Amino acid sequence: MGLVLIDNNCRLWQESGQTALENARVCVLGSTALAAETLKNLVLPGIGEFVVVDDGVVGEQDTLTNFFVQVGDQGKLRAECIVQGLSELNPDVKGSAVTRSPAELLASTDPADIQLVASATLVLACGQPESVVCALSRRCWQANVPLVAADVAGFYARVRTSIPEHADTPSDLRLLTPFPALRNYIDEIDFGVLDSTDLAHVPYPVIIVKALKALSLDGSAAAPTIQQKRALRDLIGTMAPSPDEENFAQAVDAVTQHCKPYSTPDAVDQILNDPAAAAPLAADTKVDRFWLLASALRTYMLSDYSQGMLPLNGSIPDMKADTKGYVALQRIYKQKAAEDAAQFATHVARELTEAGLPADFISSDEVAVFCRNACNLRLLRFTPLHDELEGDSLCSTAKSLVAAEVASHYALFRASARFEATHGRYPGVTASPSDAEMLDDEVVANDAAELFGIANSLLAEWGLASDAKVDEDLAMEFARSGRCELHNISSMTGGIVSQEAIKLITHQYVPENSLCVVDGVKAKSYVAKI
Amino acid sequence: MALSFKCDTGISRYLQLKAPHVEGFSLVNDENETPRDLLAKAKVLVIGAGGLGCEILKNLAMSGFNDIHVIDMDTIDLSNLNRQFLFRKDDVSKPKAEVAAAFIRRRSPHVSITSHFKRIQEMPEEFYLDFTLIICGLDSIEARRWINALVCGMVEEHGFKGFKPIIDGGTEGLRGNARVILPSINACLDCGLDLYSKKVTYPICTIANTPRLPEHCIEWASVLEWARIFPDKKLDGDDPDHINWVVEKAAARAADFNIPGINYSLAQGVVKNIIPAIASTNAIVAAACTNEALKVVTTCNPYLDNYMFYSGLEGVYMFSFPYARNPDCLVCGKKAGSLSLSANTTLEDLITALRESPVFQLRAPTLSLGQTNLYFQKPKELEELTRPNLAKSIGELFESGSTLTVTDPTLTTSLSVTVTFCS
Repeated sequence: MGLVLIDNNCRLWQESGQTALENARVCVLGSTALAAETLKNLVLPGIGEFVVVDDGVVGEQDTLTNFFVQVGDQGKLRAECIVQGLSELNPDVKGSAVTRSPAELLASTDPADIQLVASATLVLACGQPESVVCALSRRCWQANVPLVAADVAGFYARVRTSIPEHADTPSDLRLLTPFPALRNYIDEIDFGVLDSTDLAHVPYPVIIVKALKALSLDGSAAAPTIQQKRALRDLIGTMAPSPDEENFAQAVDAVTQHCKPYSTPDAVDQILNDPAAAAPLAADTKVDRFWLLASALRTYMLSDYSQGMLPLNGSIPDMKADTKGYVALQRIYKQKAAEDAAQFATHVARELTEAGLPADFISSDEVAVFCRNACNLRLLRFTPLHDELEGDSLCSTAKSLVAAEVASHYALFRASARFEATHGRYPGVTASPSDAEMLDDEVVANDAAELFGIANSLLAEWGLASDAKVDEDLAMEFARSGRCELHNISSMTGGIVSQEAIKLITHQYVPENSLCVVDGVKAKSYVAKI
Repeated sequence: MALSFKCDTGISRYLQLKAPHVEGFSLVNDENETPRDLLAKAKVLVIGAGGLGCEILKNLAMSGFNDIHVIDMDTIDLSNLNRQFLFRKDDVSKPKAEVAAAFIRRRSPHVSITSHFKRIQEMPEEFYLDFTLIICGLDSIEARRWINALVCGMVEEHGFKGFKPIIDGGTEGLRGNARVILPSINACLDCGLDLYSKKVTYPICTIANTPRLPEHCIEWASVLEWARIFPDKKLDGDDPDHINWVVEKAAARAADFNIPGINYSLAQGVVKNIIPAIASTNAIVAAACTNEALKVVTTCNPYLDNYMFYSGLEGVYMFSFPYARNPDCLVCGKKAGSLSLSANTTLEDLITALRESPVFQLRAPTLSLGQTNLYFQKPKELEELTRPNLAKSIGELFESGSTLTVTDPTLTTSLSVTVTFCS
């Protein structure tokens, strides 16, 4: 298989992302269509390993909604059936089934059972009851394992991400204080000997540095004043061979963005000032490569070499220039970025030695990606899912549900679980399958009315009584669903869950923080931070 | 053979329980048909059996549709296997439509599924008239425009009998969209043609075998050749040495195929901006399409009005809005366009303008004025006969304000284009 097969993925999440995916082990609780559809999108791009935990048996409904069980599988263990179906998609992926109930597995104190969850790269809960989600969330939180929990009610789905924290790794030209190589290159360019065609192709960074020097503003530690910037723009205007040269216009436009003293982005400062960056090994659960890298970055920033500036990213934007001038500039930034990266790597190596870890504990590829994205580092902090479902931590963030217009949907998901706790069945579901013929609009309407009441009292508990009201039609639609899975919505939600999983595993792109509700009636999603 | 559903499970609940979000809900329509009847008799055509198509076929089969057709002219490539999950390594080079249909047939024997290993343009109008609705999972704007123009023409010609909703899906990396097109009622595909003006994905088979554009050659050099020559080295879009290497290889290949236009900035643009298709986005967009198909056919819930956009780049973003109809639309509006050009413009430049303008985006236009043939792309004899006109200025060929008749492979009917001369 190899290269050609995974090529498409690499172009989206780089080889380092693909490697992270191939080294990942995902543990999934549940084996209905939602679980199978999620796993499909992880098996195809080549996740390393997956384990499906469920003791459910294939019923008629599974053969209708779950593509990865066969019509003849009725009565067999569903987890084993989907593992077989999914494994066919990619022979490089290792899949296995643990045919026990998720609740029983989580109650077990056997170290092997605990490790099944605690040592996973990522855990997914698909269609699990709240009690299981809470127990799972607690274990994942302690072990610092990201958890994504999703469930479906007919046309609606809920996805919740719960992780202790997530660091996300996704142009900096330094014109006010050019580094020596850039300084030298620009000093050697003499506008006096260039004809008007050559002048029209000088890249704008060169123009700006020249103008800064002419006004003796270069190397300044303070930001130029408004008057100085105006003088700078005027000077650039007079340097142009004719008034409408594009590269000089670009230089004028770039004055605001690029003529300012160097400062590290707030989000990066926050990471560097985090206690974990000073003591990456203090966390007792597992060694976190991100914090080792952050710690290395911290010492790099304190070193004489860096002068308090992050490693240069090395990428320059597109601009009006001839190829020769552009490539020369590109080479200078690239070279400086390479020097910075080499310096940074020595800090990482020292960090690893001090921690008593092997030199290849963090691959050079990962170091390079981290270094290149140093200016884009972001740390997301999440509320634990078990606190959301059991405690009162929701009150402080409940207003975000109102702002996102998702209070009704969310309250109805939570109310369905309360309804189940009281009645031993979800709204709109008959007490036993043999009562199926008794299901009608009246049964649904009665359950909807009760559900509506519970949801409204939940809103009151969260202090939202005056901000939000439960939508009656929505309550009816929830009861109508009987918390069933529709293949389309399971597949769509599986697509979202798998994409969030890929973001969490590869540390690329930004995962949702932390609630997403999918509305298949309106073809919309709602997101809120819990 | 229709399946019997248990009342309290899955889709069958939605076929018989009251729908609170449907205005004036009634379990039977004017024809005395229930949602269950409508689903049972729906005949759906899926265009494209690639990444989206595989998902769409699976979703339809698992949603209770039981008369499904699929049409695709492509064969399976090794590079398809990371997302087109109905195909296995042994299927490489077999027709996509046939392999996908056979897979669905094995999984869901009760579903009738028919495959067509054909170009959509090869099928007669009667073929399309036979369907309840059409779902497109395509990566080509040209095929989309063709089917859109055909269906818009059908509703004009045949009235309700020719009314075929199109549900169209598209993806680009972590972003995608789905739309419900009701010809003559809401925005058709051409109404929002400028949404598609940026082309960014190139099929691997085109890159490997039939390059047409300089981008195809760059892709060949940066993807296939680079991996072959430097299996252990990563191509860096910001490294001038790497890009120069790509430019050199791409230029050599372009010379072999007589393709102009390779340069450094284009190479870098292509290398850094490739947005390929991935399984998760395909799943989201395909499910959005088939979810709408289910709602349109059964009326079990209101359907999308009419455009849904998804992005997974920052969190999860799924948004829908009514895209407005364009009264000037070349296909469903007044079917007439206009161009303002200098009288000195050559006919060849006029043709280029028709190809490159975001409003027209034609591929190989043929032009006539009344009985006069200005330029014909084919047959060969007519092309040769009219070729000398290409170099002539339009001022020599016709007067300002003339209305030309334009035909093009992307459109099923002709188009009127009024050309006025600007000074």
